[in-house]
Amino acid sequence: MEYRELNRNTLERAIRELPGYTPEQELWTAIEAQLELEAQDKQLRIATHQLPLYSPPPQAWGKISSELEQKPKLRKLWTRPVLAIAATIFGVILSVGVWLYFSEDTGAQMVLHTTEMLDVTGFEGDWDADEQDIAMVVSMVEKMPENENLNSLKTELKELNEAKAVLTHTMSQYGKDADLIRRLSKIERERSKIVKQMAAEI
Amino acid sequence: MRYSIAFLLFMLLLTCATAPVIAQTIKVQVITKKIEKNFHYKEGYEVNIEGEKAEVNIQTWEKKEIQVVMELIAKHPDKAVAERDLELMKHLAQRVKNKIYLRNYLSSVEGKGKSEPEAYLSVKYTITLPGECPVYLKNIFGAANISSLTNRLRVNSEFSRIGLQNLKGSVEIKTRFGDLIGQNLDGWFNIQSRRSDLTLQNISGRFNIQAQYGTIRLFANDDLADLRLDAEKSEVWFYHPNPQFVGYSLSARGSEVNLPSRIDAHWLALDNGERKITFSPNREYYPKVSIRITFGNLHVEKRVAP
Repeated sequence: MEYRELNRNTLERAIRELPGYTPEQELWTAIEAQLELEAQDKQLRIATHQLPLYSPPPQAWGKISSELEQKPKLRKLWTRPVLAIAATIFGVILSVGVWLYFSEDTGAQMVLHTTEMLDVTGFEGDWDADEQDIAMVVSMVEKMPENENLNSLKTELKELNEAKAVLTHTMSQYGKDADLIRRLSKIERERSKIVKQMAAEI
Repeated sequence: MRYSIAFLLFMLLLTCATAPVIAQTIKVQVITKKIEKNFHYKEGYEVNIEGEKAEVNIQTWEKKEIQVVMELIAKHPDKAVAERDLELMKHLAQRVKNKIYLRNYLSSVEGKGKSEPEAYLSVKYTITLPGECPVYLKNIFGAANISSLTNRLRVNSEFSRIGLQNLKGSVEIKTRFGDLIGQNLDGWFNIQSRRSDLTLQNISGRFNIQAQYGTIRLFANDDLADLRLDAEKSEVWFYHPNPQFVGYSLSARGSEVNLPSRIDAHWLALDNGERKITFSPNREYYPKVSIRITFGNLHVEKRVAP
């Protein structure tokens, strides 16, 4: 065997160490049968090309063309108009039924009524109680000369204030729930951290 | 006598301590409008959801069909108020060309002398579709539980909890003020997170994460191929079953980094205050982890099997 391999010895040793497997006895018989079948098929295809060709007698074509020239006799399908109308209605109903069955949009709507106990513990909001103190700290910071840290704190506080405004607006629209209050509490904790850092800069 | 006074004081203290946490419950009338809709699925279709205060559950099945169940829910002690406010919640479930649009929103209150609804309102989607159907989800103030998708998923979420399970394929997530919790994730993941916490368990494939102001916990398995994480002002934990067989390229600025003692590498300090470290294990193939951390902390630890 010829090949370009840097570690030729290693590769040859690895190939030698590969396990060998003996195929099942029936496998060769099955392969032979398959090959024989394919050979027969090939012979058959060749034989079909060697079959003789025969032309039809000229009177056969004449008979066919004379039959085609004869006018067809039309028969009235609906002798009574009532039957025709009934068939049309039936056809329309059938078409609508088929369209509804295969239509992409199928659906239903219902309104249900139940009662439940709702836990509203801690839903009364006190999150605006310290806004005056926060505003005081911010106004004092605004009067200070700008620096990178203060600017960064102001930007963060602005983002958190906006987030709080969006959250409280949603609470007024959809009502308060535990998840919204938990998210607002987290924002309030982060706002507190920022305000404390701002106060430390004063 | 002394014991009885002590007992009375203890009881008084217990009463004072438990008073503020006594649960306050009210009986509410729950009116639910349930809408069911089915769409035939064809290759190239996409489900496009825009939810508001919605809990979105997405699951898969073998059928070539998309089933949507939407529940619009209003709760109020007065049934008439619940019914009235339920009518303010609008929905849409419609196919336009190859997109199936699902929406819910609140219409404004008109001519009632009030500015806001009084009932507690929420929406629940249950969507069952073929695993190969691409999905786009935008959700604000809600939750999403998505499982077993195999093709393409895009999520844009704010103030929401996103749960992902058994996902494959291409996944893009944008989250702000939310939580992302995932399990058994394998594919190409692109995550942008701001002020969100990430906990991703049993991850493999390729991950590209950009995060600010978050707590990030990544539990990789041996099939993780590539992780790129750029974390700012974040606390990051990266767990791997064999952290010593991972190739690292780490960069830290104003951050603490804790690496397992078996990783023998030295930090290189740059002039701009950044520290860098690179480490390649003595192996032909290994996962590549590239983490940049700024003003945060990074912990690399061995993942212990649960």
